Amino acid sequence: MLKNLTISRRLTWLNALVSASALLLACLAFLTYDQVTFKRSLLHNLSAQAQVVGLNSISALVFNDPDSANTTLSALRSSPSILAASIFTSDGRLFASYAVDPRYAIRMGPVIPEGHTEAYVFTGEQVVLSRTIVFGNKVMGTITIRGSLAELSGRLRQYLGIVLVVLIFSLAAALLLSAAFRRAVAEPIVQLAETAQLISRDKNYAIRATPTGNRDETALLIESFNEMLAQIHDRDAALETERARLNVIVDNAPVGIVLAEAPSGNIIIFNRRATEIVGHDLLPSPTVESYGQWNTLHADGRPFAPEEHPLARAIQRGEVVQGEEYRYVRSDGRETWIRSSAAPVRDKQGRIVAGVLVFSDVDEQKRAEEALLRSEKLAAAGRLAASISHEINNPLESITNLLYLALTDQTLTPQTKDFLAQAEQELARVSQITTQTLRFYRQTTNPTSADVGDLVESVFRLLKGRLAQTQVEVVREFRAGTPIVCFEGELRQVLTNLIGNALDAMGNTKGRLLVRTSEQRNYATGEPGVRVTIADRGSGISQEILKRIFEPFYSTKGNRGTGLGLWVSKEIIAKHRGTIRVKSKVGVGTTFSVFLPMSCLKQDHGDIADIASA
Amino acid sequence: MTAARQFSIARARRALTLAELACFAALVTLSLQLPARAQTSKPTEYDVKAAYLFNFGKFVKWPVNISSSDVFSICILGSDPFGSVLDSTVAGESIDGKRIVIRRISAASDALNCRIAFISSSEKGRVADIMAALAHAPVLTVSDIPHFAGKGMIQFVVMQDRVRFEVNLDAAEKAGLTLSSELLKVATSVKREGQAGR
Repeated sequence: MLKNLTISRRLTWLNALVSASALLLACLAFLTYDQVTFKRSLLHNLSAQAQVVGLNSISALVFNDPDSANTTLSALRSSPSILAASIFTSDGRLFASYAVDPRYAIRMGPVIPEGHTEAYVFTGEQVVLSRTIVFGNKVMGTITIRGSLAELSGRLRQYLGIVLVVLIFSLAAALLLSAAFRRAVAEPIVQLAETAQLISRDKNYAIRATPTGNRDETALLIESFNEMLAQIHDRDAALETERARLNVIVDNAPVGIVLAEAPSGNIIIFNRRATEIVGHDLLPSPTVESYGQWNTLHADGRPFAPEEHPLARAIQRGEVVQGEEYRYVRSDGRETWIRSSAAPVRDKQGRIVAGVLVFSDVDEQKRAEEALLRSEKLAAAGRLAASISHEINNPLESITNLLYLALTDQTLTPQTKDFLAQAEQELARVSQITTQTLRFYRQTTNPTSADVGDLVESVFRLLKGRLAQTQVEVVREFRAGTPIVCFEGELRQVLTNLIGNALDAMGNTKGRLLVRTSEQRNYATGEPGVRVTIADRGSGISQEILKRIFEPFYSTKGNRGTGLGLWVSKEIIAKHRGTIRVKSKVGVGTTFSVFLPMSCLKQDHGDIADIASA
Repeated sequence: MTAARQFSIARARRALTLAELACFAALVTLSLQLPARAQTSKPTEYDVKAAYLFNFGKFVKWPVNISSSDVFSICILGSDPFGSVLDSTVAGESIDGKRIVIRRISAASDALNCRIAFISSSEKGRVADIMAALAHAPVLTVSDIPHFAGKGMIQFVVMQDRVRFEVNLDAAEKAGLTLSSELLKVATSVKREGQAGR
């Protein structure tokens, strides 16, 4: 009944109940006591009356004078509580009787047990008491008196009335008092409950319960509550700091990090790098099955089943995956190599609650490995070609001399002379090829001093055939007069690449190619050097491609290009402590600008030798 | 006495239901016994008189200076109308710790040592002499001779089939005897100086 009431109401009712029941019990006890003592005194009284009347009736009994006995009995009229009285002789005969009303008349009384002088019996609202009348040692007869208990029930009614009045007044007093108690006991608890509710609703752990100022259990409760709040607050702050730190670490990690819940596989955390690597958002991924939407491929091109994914294996099987490599098709269509590690996160009971995936884009690394392999092959081929050219040079020299000698013969027919002249011409070409080959692939041990303009001219001569097939107008602006110390062959390779690219960009259009050389100083160091600018009016390069043109094996020419030209050029210029920059606008043209310091190779010959042999 | 009564009340209260049961039981036994008693022992006039004679002794006080005999003698002067009734009535009884003896005498002077003297109706003509002989003697004189109460102390009368008695208080007082008020209460009449009997 009291379960759903508030504490204060409960206190009120408890107070009322306690005081009411205490009062009732006390009243009941008093009532019972009163009834018992009243009965006892009534019996006492009746017994005394019986004794007196009995004594006064002895002679009447002895001398058989009922009239006298009747007179004696009728004296009982003065006692209102006595309804009737009778005297019986010792042989049980009714000797004398008196009754207020005939219906109360006593015809026989309770039998007095052997050895006793008195007996009584309560019947409803009356009590009947018998007492022996003894004279000398002889029982002369018995006197029986019927007493009324009406006074008893009258007292009972009176008492009940008093109890009722007292009960009503004390209940009212209890309710009034409990209102005061409520303030002292319930109010702090009610306030505490309200505070707790407020905190739980607003999640504001900075709120504190107001102390009562008392030193009781409630105060202790409030104190403990506040302490717990402070602890929660501190813990929250610590957690927040920790989370912020972790966020910074995760967000700035150079690897992709993904955290998914177990067993669902729902991804809850991922960092910026992760989306950069895969090229798309990782949400929503609510289940392991949803991992199937990622274009993950085995090395042989077979797509991954969702549960084959390292993260899925960590979540579902508790597997720890380390450094597994696979291919991934990014959202932009580019395929990249990814290396993944994954591990399950377990709680104290060892159950898997989450899985972590850490991965990095190893495409560049993979390609660099391949490039290294390829450049090594190229270097080998170059060395082979150089040694072949070297071996061919000597016989070529002999054949050239022999052809020259043969032409001096005056007996030759004009036709034979013509053939020989043609042979000499073709041989000159062969000789040029071998020389070129040697220049490209076998570095001279020492750098030489060269005029940049001459170098450009030599490249143009090399590309004469290609130039003739185009409608490109070549404009030369050679203003640099000071020669620079360099590896001629390598610089020629750079220039060939750049000019070749410019010609490719213009294709069959009627374009213009500007090659300018000028003496300039390095912006940053003020070091003197030569700047070579090669500008075309070709198709131009988009910003996206422009970022990657110096990457190895990046080519827009398909099968025609190796993707190595600009990368090798950049390496060579770096070797000469120079810089290469590019400006381009789609549809307008592209300008490459190479700066080479004059004393680029004077300082450390040993270093150069190392690079040259590499 | 008081302690005993309280004790018995306590006992009786404890056995309240027992008392009720006993009450019922008594009803049954009494209803069986009462008619039987009524049939067999209807007391005769002298039966009653014998009992009264004996009981008078209990309601009378004799002067303290009388002979300290260890017997309480009830004398019958003249012919004995009781037969054996009186003897059997007082058999084993005592008054004031004194054994009761019945003496049958013929001379009035013999009655001087008696406590109670019953003057038989055979002595009807000698009442004045006898009373003179016993004048001032501490002897309760009782008789059923008519008008005896004029000189004697107690006279039996039969009224409405019941034996009653008259008392001459003056005669008793002259003899130094004190009659209990209880006795006077049940007497049909009490003669006193200048007073009529009640």
